[in-house]
Amino acid sequence: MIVNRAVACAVQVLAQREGFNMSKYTDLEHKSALEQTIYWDSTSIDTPEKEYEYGRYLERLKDYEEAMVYYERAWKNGSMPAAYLYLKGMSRQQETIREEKQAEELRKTVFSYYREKKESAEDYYRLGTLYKEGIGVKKEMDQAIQCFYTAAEDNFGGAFYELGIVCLEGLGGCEKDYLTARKYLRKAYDAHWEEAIFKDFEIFQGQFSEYEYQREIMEAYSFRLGQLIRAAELRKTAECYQRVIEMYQKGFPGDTGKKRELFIRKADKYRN
Amino acid sequence: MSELKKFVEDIIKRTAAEHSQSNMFLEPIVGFASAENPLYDKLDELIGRPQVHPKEFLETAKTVIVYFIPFSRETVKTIQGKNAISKEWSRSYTYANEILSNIGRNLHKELELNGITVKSEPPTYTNATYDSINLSAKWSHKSTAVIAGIGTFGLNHLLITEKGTAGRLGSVVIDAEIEPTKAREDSFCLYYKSGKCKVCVEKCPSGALSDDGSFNRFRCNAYLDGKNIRDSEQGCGMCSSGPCATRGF
Repeated sequence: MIVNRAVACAVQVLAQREGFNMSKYTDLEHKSALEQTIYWDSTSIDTPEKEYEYGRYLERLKDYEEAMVYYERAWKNGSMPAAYLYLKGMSRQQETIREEKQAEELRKTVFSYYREKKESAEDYYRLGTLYKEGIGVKKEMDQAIQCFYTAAEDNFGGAFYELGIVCLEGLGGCEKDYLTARKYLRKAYDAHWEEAIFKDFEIFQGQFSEYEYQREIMEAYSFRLGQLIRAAELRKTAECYQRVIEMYQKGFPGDTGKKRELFIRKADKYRN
Repeated sequence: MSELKKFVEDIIKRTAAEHSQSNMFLEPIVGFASAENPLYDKLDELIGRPQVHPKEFLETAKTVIVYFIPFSRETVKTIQGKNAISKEWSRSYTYANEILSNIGRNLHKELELNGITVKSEPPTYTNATYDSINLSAKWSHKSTAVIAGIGTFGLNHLLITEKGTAGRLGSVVIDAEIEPTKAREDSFCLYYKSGKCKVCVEKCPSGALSDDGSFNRFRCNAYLDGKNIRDSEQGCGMCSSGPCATRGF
């Protein structure tokens, strides 16, 4: 009950905060990433902290496999934040660390680290995901929600996203609430959490012509496509090409007829 | 009037030839439009967004001078038939902007010495002239180029000239009269001419172009933001590297 009240209050409190202008999202991301590219071009990646940050930079560019290389290096050099992202990456790629005993020790160590740390909104968010997914700890949804709520108070996009999922799926004893879920996802995207607009579009119950954020999803899709194509150009790996194929195969939001067929042809070209 | 026309053309062509990388470009194509041309009054409606009339730009405007700097065939070949941009193409964009700036500066300097007032937009838009939310500019070099007859709009939504579509445009407004060059009656675009081609639509990675003639600039811009996010080499170039890259049809 306490958790449900916390979630209900969160909507009212957090709803007052203004979002940023979504139509400039991709321009701002582009500018920021270019600045980071210039920085990394002239910086030695010679400490665990730098390995971790470089991995984050690569992950932001959708260069996932290369990001994992740096997370693994950083983690083995003592970076727990890198270990967290490495575990998340393995989970996303549905892979496992070879030695289960080593994997379990790592999970517990990462959980202990974030349980103690709790310094930033991001720390709370990460702790929340560990509770939610039972990584290094027994799954405890109410703890997870409390962590997400704390992080959301500091406008952390990932936290809004997770609260959206909580409302959508009725997790932790909360009632399923589609409208509140969508409000949270909107706030997540306002706070630069790119995945939120894709999730919102996925759950939208209506025709594309009725979707309120047509421009946002269109731009997010194009932006992601551009990043994936660039990663594929650079790495030329099966995984990279497969992501591009999947984007084209899925089709552009709202496309039908000739446009849809065009994207299928593009997917076929990448397959060949 | 014809002396002034030659004077302006000489400035433009000389300035382009003086650039250290002039070998990456062909000789500029120059055109002139009357500031009184009735098409300027219709641009708001034709483009669908508010446009600045030459006389809003310069109250005493008489002529708009427009110039197209075509990329060389060698540069175009570096991306034709490919899906990725080349360093040569990306650098051509940068050098062309330098040439356009130099031309604008020299036109200002030399025409003003002769008592002619000049107003111009920079080659890449500033915050003052470009709406970065709606991705639109109020001054269209392309529209003036079409009015002045140096090219026509293609299915790729770019200007296609007799030397093709791969290149960069600039324009200035002056308060002296130069005889306008005539707008073309037929199209340089193979698709609009014959219903054939559509290479630009097929090549566009983001699907921003359509064969109904529409162009989704938000799709295009966001794709470019993602594609160029880690590179000093910027651009895409797919829509201007088809059959019309180096020639108008």
